[in-house]
Amino acid sequence: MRLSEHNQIASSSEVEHVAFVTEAAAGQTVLIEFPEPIKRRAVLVRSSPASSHPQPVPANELLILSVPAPVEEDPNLLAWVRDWVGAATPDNDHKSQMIAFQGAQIFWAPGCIALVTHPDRRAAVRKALIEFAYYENELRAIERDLGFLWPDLEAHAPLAFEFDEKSVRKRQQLSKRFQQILAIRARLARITPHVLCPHLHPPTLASQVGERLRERTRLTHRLEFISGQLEVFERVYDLCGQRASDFMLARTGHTLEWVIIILLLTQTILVGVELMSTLGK
Amino acid sequence: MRYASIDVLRTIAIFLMVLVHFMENLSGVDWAPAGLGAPLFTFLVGVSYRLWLSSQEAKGKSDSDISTVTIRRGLFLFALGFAFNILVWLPEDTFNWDVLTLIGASLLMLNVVRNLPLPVLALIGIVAFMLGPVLRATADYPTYWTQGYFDPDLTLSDVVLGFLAIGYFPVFPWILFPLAGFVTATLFFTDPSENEPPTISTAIFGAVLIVGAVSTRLLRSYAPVPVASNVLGGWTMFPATLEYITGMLGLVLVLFALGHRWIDRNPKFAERKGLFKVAGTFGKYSLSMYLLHHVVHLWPLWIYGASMGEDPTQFWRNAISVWVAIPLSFLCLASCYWLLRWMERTERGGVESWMRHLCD
Repeated sequence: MRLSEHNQIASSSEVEHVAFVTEAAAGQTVLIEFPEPIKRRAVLVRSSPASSHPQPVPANELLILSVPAPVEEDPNLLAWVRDWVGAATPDNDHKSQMIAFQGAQIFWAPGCIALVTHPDRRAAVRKALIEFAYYENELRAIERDLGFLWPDLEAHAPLAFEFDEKSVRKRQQLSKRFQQILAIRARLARITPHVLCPHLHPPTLASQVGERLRERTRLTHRLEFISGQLEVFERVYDLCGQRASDFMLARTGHTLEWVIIILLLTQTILVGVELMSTLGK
Repeated sequence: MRYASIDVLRTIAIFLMVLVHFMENLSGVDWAPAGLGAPLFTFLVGVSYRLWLSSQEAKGKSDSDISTVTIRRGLFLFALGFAFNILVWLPEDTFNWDVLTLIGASLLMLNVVRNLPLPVLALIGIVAFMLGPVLRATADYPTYWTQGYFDPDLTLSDVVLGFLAIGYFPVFPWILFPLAGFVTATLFFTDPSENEPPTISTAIFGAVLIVGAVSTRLLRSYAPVPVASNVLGGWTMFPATLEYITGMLGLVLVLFALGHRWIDRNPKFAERKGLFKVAGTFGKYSLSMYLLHHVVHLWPLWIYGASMGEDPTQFWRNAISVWVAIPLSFLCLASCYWLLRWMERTERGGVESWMRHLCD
């Protein structure tokens, strides 16, 4: 493909930077409002004509490249779009996924989507893609967070069986981890209905694109795996919490018992010393 | 793990101890700063025990194994204390309850209380601190002391009273120092990765204790007579008065906290050159040094006394001028350092190695 053709495709394409926010800033276009428990909005940060050499996707943003589809399928165009997605996601270890469906071609990599379709269908497909991208991104973030927590879990696992005086100082950390796990579970619970939602009937292009991408990225299976992993975390930290609570209750009782023992010993020593000093004289 | 600050503090205690023992035993001159040596030494016993305990736990040693070794070590030091009294202070002073028997008893006590919550340990320390003057008053302390030294009858009651309240280093209130060392080290060295050691707050607490001790000392003359004579006793080490114990505990806490902050946490001192090397050697052989310097200055005194008349102790506290005793103490320190370095180089163990060999 010649340089002039590259430039021609780029000039007819559009790049949109989409961010997922809680509240849209004044003047921002809200593309999608997610259902209530999620409390997120996809907003358009900016849009511009595509360049042949895209900048890497900024963190927490979704890049959408929209290219008007030609009348006949053009392999060069698809190659250019694939390269474009690759260049926009240099940190991605895997190749981008490609879906061709009813004349629409979609390239997906984490944080970046390229959509080659007829301008009439663009809005509907883009909405489905943004939804999918949000849920996939959430799932990936949960996987990453859980990955970081495994070493801690292994370190804390013995405390699920036995809690002692030395562990008292770890209570704050255990409580923090437990809250983290609950927060992750809540995040997962919020997206689960949307990831596991049944296929729409009658199907539309947008719904089918979303369903196909969910299958390709194994969202359902990943969600089950995460749920299984979270159960392990919940079980360990729940037991840790119980052990810690039991220990602290018993410790308070023991402390009082020790105070009584010390006072009795003090009295015994006083009596003993008095007795001995009397005997000595 | 060895902390340079602990070696430095132990070396300070050794220097003070050698200097004061030479001055007191050879010349009869008492020197006020000497009162820091024993509190520092016994405080560091508690610190070292905590560090040793942590290392044993990290090695996965069971609780009963740790107990066994601690009891053996405690009994070893207790027995060594008696042997030291008999051989160095002569059999008449077998039950004078010197610092080694206190350290032995402290280890046995720490073994019992090591798993208790810190507030309980603090309570034991406070009770030990408060019991000291009460027990002394109950036992009529002055009747057991003749011309500045402890002179009990060889009866069970006197021996037990000496151990508990009226000897040179009785359990009450001296147990406070190992206990305070243990508690402080627990706060400083347990999980150092998670929490910053409370060096500043400990130093401030120590400073408050010093101010409290000095204020009490100054205000003693204004206190009611029963309080001034029974509760407060002025600034004396024998008996260890409330003011003295409070002030020394404060000073020891300040030195320990600031030493840890400025030496152990300073990467500049990690290589341990120069004075730190000296401190490392003295710190490693502190027990040997304690025994050695006594032998070096007391045995010649007893031998010379025996050769000159019937009483071997006739020259005790009046053998030489203090101006000769002081250089002799420095000569002793230098010679002992040379000997200890040689032992270190040739990997010869001191009394510490014998203890480990017998007890571990």
